[in-house]
Amino acid sequence: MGERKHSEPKLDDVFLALSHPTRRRMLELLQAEPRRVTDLAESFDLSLNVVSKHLKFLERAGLLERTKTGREHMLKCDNRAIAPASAWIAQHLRMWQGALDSFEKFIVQTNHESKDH
Amino acid sequence: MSTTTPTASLTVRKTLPCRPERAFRAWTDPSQYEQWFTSCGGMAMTAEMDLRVGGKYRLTCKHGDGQPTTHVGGEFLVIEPPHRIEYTWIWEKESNPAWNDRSVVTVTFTALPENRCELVLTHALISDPEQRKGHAEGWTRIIDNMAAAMARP
Repeated sequence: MGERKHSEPKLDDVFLALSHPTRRRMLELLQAEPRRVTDLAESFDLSLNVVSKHLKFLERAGLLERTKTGREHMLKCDNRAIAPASAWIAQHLRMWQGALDSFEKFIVQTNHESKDH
Repeated sequence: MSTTTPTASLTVRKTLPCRPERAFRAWTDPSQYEQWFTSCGGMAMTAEMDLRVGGKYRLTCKHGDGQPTTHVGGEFLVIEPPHRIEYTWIWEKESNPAWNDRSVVTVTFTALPENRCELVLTHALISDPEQRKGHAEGWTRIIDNMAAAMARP
């Protein structure tokens, strides 16, 4: 794979961000309500450093919005980032379900033909 | 062999009324593939395959009504007749600009009693090996939550 632009999150970044249980838990908490970084960190038995690393994955994927008010960093979940990822799954799933249905039909049909001849 | 880690995947299964040998042939012979792989939404499709590990394939779907032709292609990674085939799946940029991420399709055929077999197809997005961490399970709930959140007014 080539270099990636960090300005534009790739589908892969979204899935990579979602691939860790801690980050999924973080997102679930932030889906419920926006939180300060320090409050979020308290929900985990992890150092602030490790929490920050996880947040970087989520931010790079465009899943989080961070706003600074004075010294406080507020985190908010950005649901828009997930749309292309869920579309990738949904549309490929539909494509393969259709393909396997016609594959089965093809097998049944050619079964029939080979028995006739 | 490339070392890759799936970051997300989907799986589809099908029980077929034939032995794995025949299903494997129908999947890997271009002239048969062209007859059943019609779900790219096209009017007609052509398949080119260089069926060997490292060999390339390319699928072309022609659409009616002046719509652009779509292409998908990749490279065979594993060929184990009649049980397993694995290949990269990459939409060509102009065909599907949003989805030109690298992904891998794995198809297995397992014999069942009475001349039947089970086909299991997994299509996975893959990430850089240096980023291999964690597992893909559990992300679907997050996606569902987000979809639900987006659906709310």
